[in-house]
Amino acid sequence: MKRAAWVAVTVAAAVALVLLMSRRGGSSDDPAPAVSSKPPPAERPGPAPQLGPAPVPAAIDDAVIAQVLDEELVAVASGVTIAELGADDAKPCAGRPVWLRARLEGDTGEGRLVSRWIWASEQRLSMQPGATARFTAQAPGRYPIRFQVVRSIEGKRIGVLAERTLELDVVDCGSGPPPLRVEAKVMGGRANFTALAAVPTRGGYRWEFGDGEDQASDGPSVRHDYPILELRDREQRSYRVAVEVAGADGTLLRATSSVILYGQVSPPRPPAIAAELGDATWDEAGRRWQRRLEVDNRERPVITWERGERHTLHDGDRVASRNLTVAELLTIIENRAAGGLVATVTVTAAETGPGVRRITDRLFGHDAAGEEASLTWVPWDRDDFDPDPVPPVAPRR
Amino acid sequence: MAAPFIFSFCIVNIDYSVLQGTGKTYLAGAFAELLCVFPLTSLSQAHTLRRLSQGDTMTNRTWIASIAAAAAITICSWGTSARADGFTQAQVGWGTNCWNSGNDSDGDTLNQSCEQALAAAFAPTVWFDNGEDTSAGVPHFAAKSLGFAAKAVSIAYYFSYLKDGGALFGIGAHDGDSEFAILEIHFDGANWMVDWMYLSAHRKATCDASFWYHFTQIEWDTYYRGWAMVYSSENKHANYASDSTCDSGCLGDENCDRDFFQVPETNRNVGQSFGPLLPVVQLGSAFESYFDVNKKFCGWQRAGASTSHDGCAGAYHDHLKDFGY
Repeated sequence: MKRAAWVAVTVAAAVALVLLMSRRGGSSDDPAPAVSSKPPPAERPGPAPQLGPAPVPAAIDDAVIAQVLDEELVAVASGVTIAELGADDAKPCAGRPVWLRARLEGDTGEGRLVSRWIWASEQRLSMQPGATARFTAQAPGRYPIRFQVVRSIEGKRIGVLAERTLELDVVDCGSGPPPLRVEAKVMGGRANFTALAAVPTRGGYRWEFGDGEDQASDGPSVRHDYPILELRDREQRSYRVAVEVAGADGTLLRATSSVILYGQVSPPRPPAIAAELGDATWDEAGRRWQRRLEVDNRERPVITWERGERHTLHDGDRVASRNLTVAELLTIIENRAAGGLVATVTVTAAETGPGVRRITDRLFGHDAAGEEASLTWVPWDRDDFDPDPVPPVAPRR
Repeated sequence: MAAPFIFSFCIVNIDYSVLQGTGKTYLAGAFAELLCVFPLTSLSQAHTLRRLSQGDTMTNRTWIASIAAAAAITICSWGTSARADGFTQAQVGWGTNCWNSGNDSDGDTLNQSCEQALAAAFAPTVWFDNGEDTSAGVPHFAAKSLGFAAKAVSIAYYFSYLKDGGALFGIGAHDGDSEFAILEIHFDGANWMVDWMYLSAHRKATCDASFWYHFTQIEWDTYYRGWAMVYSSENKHANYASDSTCDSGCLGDENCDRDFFQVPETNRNVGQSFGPLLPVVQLGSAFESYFDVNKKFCGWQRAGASTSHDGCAGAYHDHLKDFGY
């Protein structure tokens, strides 16, 4: 039973691959795909199902919105205006996503107002809240997209403070994959870009990151860091990225894509405890590595250090942990104010035997206000040291 | 002739990383993945298959039943193969009537039954590493409206692990682990879909990597913008949206894998601080509070078999108050 199922799956997967290639007609052009080494989620090609309660006309009027969203729309005077309304691609391709964005001015309501997009596509109306939205039209044509600034009044009454309609022309870009496209993976402010060519190229890529920076690369992948610190909670900022490479026949290939960054708000945390770990020195007599650790506490109430831990990471992700006293973890040279200290951290040669990848220490305590305090440092990492001969030679950095 | 064709088409949508699981997990996952192609009339069928594939303990009877169910669903659904984002109103059972209708015990304008239905429909798939041995928990959830104008709802999943294994570098082992996930979803007039997901990862502690993920940054299990995939770090339960992000977390000492998964139970709605439904939850002789910033989460330690060696986890409300719960 099990063997038969496996065979069936294998055969089916092979057939499926052929079907996949024939049905999709190329990959998606998602400007911000899933951040994973795994295959990203597939885009949904082909005709969309009729899922809405009723077909709606291409033109979106208030009656249709009210019916589909079960609302009573009421015009409300306000000081907010829609300063800009647009898409990151003036003529997007059918079947590929395009980012819509709006910019408001005036009294934006300090979070009380809701921005939302409403469009009719695939025979139904869809609403997406937010100042930006990702829109995909499966067929070429002109798509009216309504942008509204609204707020809840009471029950199903929705006040409309401002609205405008964006007319978006979606064009047919053919069914095959483009000769060159850009894939972006973004986490925080760091973006990894890969140029994917469907035709032979001569190599040598030139990148423009949309923030005034550019770069040349031999290979098809580059990494770029964008500033996100000034972005508010989940505020989005897009950059238009472009890459150029010469095709094998000398034709210049160019592809562009939008990369979206998202602001993050960090939760409040206790003030940091400053710690600095010095370079490692080898003590031949003791056959051990030693590092100087300096800890300074300038912002928190007096800290009392209570215990330590040493964790040894082995190949295969096996971890061995030991609980230690502070005296076992550190040889204290000097006690400083408020729990600060100068100490020596020791790692013996025996602790860095074959198969050991990294040693991490933790120091735990409490401050005078009762809040937990902890410090982490890495006294030994195989990647930072020449593994042979033993005793190890000086660290590479 | 038709059967192999249908079957092969279904396989198209398998996320191939499921192959990392054991044989049974893989195949069960594969059959659960069959559902991705076809809109179902009820999510319960899909949930049944997802839960069948959770472990590696399927009996031959459940195994055959899952194959038969998937095949039946597949054949019945043939001809309506295109997909849309999230879940349809028919699948969830609720649309705009989720607001201002019927029982609203916690006073947030959402119907309690709708809160339950949405929490169940969107419960994420949480993946663990084979080295995980502290995945036991008593999950709770809460939901609140983000406004009828946006048709948006926030759902907080309190994973409520009984203990933190502390096997990796960093914070020591302790009773209870107050990690959580928050989904923000909206109803677009026909479908419900995920817009954002917040994942706690040692929030307000060393190695804090908690993060809001836009839907374009999330991996999906079966339903795009429906079942989000979450990677829980081995025995520490920090949550990440991808395996690679997890593995590079906390000085590179976090570890995640897709070895087995859990779907949080959604039959315990705690409500919000302004309308608590379960202000205190008793398990055995121990009590936990989801609405007291000073009450650390100890995983009902007296009722469980855990052995505390470093106190308890941070109070749930110390985190969730920051999100308006």
